[in-house]
Amino acid sequence: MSSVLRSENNALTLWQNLSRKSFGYAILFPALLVILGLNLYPTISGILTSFTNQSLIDPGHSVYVGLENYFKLLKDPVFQISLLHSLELTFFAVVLQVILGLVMAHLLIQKVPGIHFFRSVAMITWVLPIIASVVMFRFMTLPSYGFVNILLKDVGQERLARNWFGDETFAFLLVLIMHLWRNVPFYAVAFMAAMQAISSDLYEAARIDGAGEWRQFWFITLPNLRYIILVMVVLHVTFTFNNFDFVFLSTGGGPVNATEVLSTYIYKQAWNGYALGYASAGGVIMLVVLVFLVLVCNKFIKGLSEE
Amino acid sequence: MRIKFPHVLPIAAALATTMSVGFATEIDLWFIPMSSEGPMKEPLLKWMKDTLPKELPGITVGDNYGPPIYQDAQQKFIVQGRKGKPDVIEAVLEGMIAYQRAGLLAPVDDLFDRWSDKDQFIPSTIKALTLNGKLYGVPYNTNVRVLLYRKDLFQKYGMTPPKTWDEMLQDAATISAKESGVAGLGLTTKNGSVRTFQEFISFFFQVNNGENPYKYDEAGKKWAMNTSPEKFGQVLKLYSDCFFAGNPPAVNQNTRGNDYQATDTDYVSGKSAMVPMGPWIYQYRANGEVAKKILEEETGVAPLPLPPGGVQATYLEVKPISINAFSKEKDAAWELVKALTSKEFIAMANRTEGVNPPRKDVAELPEFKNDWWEQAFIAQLPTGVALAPINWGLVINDITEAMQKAIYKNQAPEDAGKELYNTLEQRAEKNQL
Repeated sequence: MSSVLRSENNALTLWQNLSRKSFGYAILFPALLVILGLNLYPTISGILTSFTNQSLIDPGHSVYVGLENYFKLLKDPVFQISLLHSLELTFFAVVLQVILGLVMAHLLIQKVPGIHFFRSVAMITWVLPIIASVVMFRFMTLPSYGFVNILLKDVGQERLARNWFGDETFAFLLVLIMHLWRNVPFYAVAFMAAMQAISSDLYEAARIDGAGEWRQFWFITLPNLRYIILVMVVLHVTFTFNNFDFVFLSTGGGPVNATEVLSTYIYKQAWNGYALGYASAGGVIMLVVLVFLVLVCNKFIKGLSEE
Repeated sequence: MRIKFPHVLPIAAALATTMSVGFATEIDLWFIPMSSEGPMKEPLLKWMKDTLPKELPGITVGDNYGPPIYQDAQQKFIVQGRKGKPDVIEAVLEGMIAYQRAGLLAPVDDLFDRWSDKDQFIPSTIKALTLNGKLYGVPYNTNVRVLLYRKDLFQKYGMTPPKTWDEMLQDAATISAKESGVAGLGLTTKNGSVRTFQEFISFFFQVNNGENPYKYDEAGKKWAMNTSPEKFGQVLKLYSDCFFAGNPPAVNQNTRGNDYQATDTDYVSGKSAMVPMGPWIYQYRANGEVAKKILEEETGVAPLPLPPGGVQATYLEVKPISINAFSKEKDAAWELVKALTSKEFIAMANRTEGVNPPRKDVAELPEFKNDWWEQAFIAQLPTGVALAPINWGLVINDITEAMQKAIYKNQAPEDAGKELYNTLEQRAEKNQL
C-alpha cells in the first residue's frame, strides 16, 4: 500500500517538476526567440557571408570563396591602419576617460555653492545627439569662420589656424577629444555616485592616521571604485571600438586615412563598393578582436572579485 | 421619414468620392530635393500638392519623399527596392548606374518611344541614361562643371579668365597674394566626397581626350583601363601645384579636406575668387545680400582651363527619374515620370535651382533663353562627358584617396598616379566594377 502511495507521490512530483520546468521554458521561449532572431541569426549569417563574394548589387550570384576575403583583408594596408587606429582610439579614449572622469568626479563631489548646477550641466554632453556634437565641433573648427580659428587670429596666432578636421596631424586628436568631451561627464557622474557610497568613517580614520588627500584617494577612494571603473571600461571598450558616427560624420576616415577606423572602413566596403562578403569578413575580424578585448576585461574583473 | 431627392445628392456625391479615393492608384516617390531642406523644397512640394492631382487624376502619390540625402537613398533603395517601393525614384547618375546593376530599374525605352514629348529631350542626356542599350530613366535636370570667377577681382588686377591650367594657377596666386582674406581658387578635397570626385574627373577628362578611365572590352567581356598612369599623375600634379606652387599658393592650404559646403560657402561669401562649379550655386542668392551680389553681379562663367594638349571636356551631370523594376504599379509610375519630366515641372524645378533643362522646349522659354546664367552653362553642355556605367563607389574612394596623398604630400603626384592606375586596373581585373 505504502509503496503504491510512494510511487504515486513520485509520479506527482515528477509531473509537478516537469510542468514547472515547462512553464519556465514557455516563459523563456519568446525572449529566446527574439535573441535568436535578432542576435544569433544575423551573426551566423554574417559569418557565412564572409566566406562568399556576395555583392549588394548582384545578390543572386554569390559564390563560396573560402578564406579569400580574409587573406585579402589582412594584406590590405588600409584595413591594417584602420585596425591600428581602432585599437589606439579605444586605448587612449578609455584610459583618458577614466582619468579625467575621476578628476571631474572629485570636483563634482565637493560641497561648494552652486555645485548642483554644475552636476546637472555636466551631463549635457552625454544627452546631446552625436550628430549635434559633431556638427558643433565641425563648425567650431572651420577654417574661415570657426570659433577656434577666429580665437587664434584674435590672439595673434593666425599661423596656427587651419582646417582642423582636414589636418593629418590633428584630425585623429580631434576625434579623440570628441569622445572625451562626450563621455568624461558620464564617467564622472557614475564615479561620483560610487564615491558617495563610500563610508565617511574610512576617510576620518585615515585622517586620524595622518593620511593626506592623495593617500586617501589612492588607498580608500580608488579601491572602492574598482568595480564601477571596470564596468565603465568594459562598456566603453565596446562602445569606442565599435564607434562609427564620430569618425564618419566628422572626417569620413580622412584625410588620407588618418582617422580611418574599422567601422568606417567596413561601411565603405559594404556601401560604396557593395562588397558584402568582403565587408562581412571585416566585421567578423572586428567581432573576434572585440570578444578578445572583452574577455581580457572580464579576466580582470574576475581577478578582482577573487581578491 | 421620406428621403427626398435633394437629400440623396450629397450622399451620392460623398459615396462617389469615397469610391474614387478607394480606387485611386497609390504610388510612392523618392525625390531627394523634396525631402531635403533647401530653396527647392517649398516650390516642389507646392507643385506636388496643387498641380499634380490635376495632372494625374486617379493617382495619389505618398507624401514621404524618401531620405534627404542621395547616399542614404541609394543604400536604402538597394536594400528595399525588391519589395517594389518606392515605385519611382529620382537619383544622381552614379546612383542610377548602381540601381541598374542591381536589377532594380525597369527599362523605359518602349514607353519613352511612344511618348509625344520624346523629341524634346537633348540627345546627350538620353544617351547618358542609356545603359547596355536600354534607357533606364528620363532626365529632369542636367549641368556641367565650369569655372566660376570673380569678374570684379579679375578686372581690378587687369586679368582675363584663365584658359590654361598654368594661367589658372598664376591668376589664383596673384589674387591670393594681393587680395587680403581671399584665396585665388577653391577646391573640394574631402576624401570619398562625390563632389571631390566630380571636380577631379572634370580635369581628368581634359587630359584623357574626353574619355572615361575605363572602356568596355567587347572581346574580353569586361572593363579595361582606358588611360595611363601618367595622365592620373598629371591631374594629381595640378592638385599638388594648387596647394604648394607659388607663395602664397593658388589654394589656401588650410582648406585641404574641405567638403562642398565649405567650397560653396567660401565662394558666395567672397573667400575664394575662382571655383570649378555647377549651376546649382545660383540658389545661394537666397543666403543674403553678399551672396546675391557676388552671384548676380560679380561672377563670370568660363570653360574649365585646359592642360597642355588637353581637350575641352567636363563632368556631365544628368539627374534621372526612374521606375522600380519591382513596382506593382508600373503604368501609374510611368504617368508620374512623365509628369515630373514635363515641360511645366522641369521649367519650375530647374529655374528654382538654377540648373539647366534637359528639354529643348524648356530651354526656349524666355526665363531660360534670356537668362545669362542659364545660357552660360548651356553653352558648355556639349563639352560634358557622361560617366561610364560602372560601379563607381570604390573608384571614387580610390581617386579621392590618391588626390589626398598628393595634396598632403604623402606621395609625389607621379607615384600617386601610378598607384591609382594599378589599383583601378586591379579592380577591373577582379571584376569589381
